[in-house]
Amino acid sequence: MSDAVLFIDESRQDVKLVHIMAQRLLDPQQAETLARHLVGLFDSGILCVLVEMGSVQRLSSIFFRSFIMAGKKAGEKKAKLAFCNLPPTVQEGFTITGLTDLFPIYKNENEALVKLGGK
Amino acid sequence: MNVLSLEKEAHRDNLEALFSFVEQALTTLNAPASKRDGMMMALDEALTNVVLYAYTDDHRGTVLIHMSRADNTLTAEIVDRGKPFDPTAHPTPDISLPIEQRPIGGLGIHLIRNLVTSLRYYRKEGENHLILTTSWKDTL
Repeated sequence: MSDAVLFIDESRQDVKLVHIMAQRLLDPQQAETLARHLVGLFDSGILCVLVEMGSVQRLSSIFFRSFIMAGKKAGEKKAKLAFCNLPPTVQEGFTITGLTDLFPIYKNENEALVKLGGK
Repeated sequence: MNVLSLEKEAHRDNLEALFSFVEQALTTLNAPASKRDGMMMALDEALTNVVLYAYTDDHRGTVLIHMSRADNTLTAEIVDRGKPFDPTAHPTPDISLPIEQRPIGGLGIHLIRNLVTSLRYYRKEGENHLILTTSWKDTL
């Protein structure tokens, strides 16, 4: 549906920061791509992944599948998946679906990196 | 009453056009900001469900959406001729389960239910009709 960049990775000490670049997370194919990427990070031995979502304006639950799949992989690997910079609409989706109880959610990148040891 | 409609083949390639229609319709119908995002998210879910699951590969069909506003109520009706599917009868997922026990899917309908004021379904003459409404008070 879109050829735009979906995410950009950045390493901050022990934390892999995944910036979601797309404004609209609605495309099922992109959801599969993101799931594979996040699961792949944990499979490669990374122990902490922080997903930064400040750019996202519109989000479908097919991406919640991606996050739950990645969260299960993180659990298997004794690793951590966390999120930060959730815009209000995204926060509402996380709250309704209980994702706020599954993952640490931080207000912003700085707070998250301090808590997760990436700063 | 102003009714805005769009019909497209229920195919992944048309999702973008359907999502854009919803966004433009909510603007045209002057939906209040506090209701707009929720309705948009609910319709994104419902349209995605039709496109991904209503039809089989050897039996494709269309998805039709009507959107309208009467006073303080926005109504959207989604019609398809795919497999019978009543989202209102879908079991509520247990969102208190820990990650290792959480099913991967099943959250879309739960999201829709929580984002709209009412959700109705009926099947008539081989068509699934899903009607989503959101209402608000004058004080918004």
